[in-house]
Amino acid sequence: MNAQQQEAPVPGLETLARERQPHLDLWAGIEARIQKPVAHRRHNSVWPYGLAASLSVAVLAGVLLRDYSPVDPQASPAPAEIEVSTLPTPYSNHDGEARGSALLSARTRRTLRSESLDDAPAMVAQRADAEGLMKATYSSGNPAPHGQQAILRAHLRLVSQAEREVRRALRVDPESASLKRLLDVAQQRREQLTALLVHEPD
Amino acid sequence: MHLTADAANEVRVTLLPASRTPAAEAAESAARREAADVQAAVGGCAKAFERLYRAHVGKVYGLCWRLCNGDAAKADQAAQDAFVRAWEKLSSFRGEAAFGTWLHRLTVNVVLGEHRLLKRWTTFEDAEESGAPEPSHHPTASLGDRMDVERALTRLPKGARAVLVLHDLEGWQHDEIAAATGIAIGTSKAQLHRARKLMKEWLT
Repeated sequence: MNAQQQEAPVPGLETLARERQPHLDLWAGIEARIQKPVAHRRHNSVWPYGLAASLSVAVLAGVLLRDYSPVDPQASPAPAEIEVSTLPTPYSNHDGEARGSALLSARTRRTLRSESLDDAPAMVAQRADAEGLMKATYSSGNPAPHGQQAILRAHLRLVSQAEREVRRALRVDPESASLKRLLDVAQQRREQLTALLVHEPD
Repeated sequence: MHLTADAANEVRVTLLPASRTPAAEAAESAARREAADVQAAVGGCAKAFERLYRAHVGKVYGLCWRLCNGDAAKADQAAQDAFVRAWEKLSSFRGEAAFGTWLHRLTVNVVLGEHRLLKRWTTFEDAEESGAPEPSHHPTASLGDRMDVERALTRLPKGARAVLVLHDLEGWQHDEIAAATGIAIGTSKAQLHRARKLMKEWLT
């Protein structure tokens, strides 16, 4: 057999039927197996929005946490701080400001642990200054201190992005109460940040 | 009557709408129905998917049966798996190719499994592994002992059979086989060559 003959298709192969019916109807088995994937597929179409909403919650939580923490350019966050901030704190009596206070008191406690006790009065004063700054900035609507504009703009971008994600999620699940609440929070934060930026033009 | 080329073209173009055969119209109508069924199935309609199953089960099962070496039980399972996978993946069907083409490709992936597995299948040693007789092992085989085409096909090594079925029966090109299975184009060509050689030796 020469090479040319070997390259030619096998005689008779083209006559084989491409179609063949199974001995039993396979549909019953297939139908039973696709019942679950129907529900699964619906979840699949929604899960990106759910993920986006969860991400939005995380971003908003991060923004809120950062908003209420005192701005201290000298103090750079350290891994130890995160660990300590999870400890219970005597200062956190109510929810809103509690997060900022907890972080601050954790910082204070860390510093008191790692540095000399002589620094304690200074830390207490720093905490009082920071709380004053927080109230001045976010409670009374006063202009943001100079140099915080970049941070505010970054926060505004994050909040706007979160708001968009929540709106997208609401299009899929318009009746979700938690998403509506989340949208309210995002809108409030955006308006608040926008007002602060308006007070402090470039 | 003699027409110039231009005049002939003009006549052809003029007659084109009227020259549509009933068969072509039926095919077009079937394609529209199938597209509607695909859309409905994407939306979760099992009835529409059943119609797609009924329309394509013959070709899908035939492909599975050949790739599974004629084992009916394995072919049943493979065909079921292929349709279930198709249902799961329907949302990824963009309509760029015909639904049947997409389904065939998906079936090949289901039956042949992971690409890595297929690479192992398509080594040249698998003929010895499967125990398929070399042509030289049967120098005295009588005419009555010779296998028919179908039986010869089932005796091919897995990789060679897969490539032969896809190329010579399903009409795939080597680059398509390579893309779908993960083997090199050269390997696909070599397997086809080997499969044809074995088949011809067994059948003569």
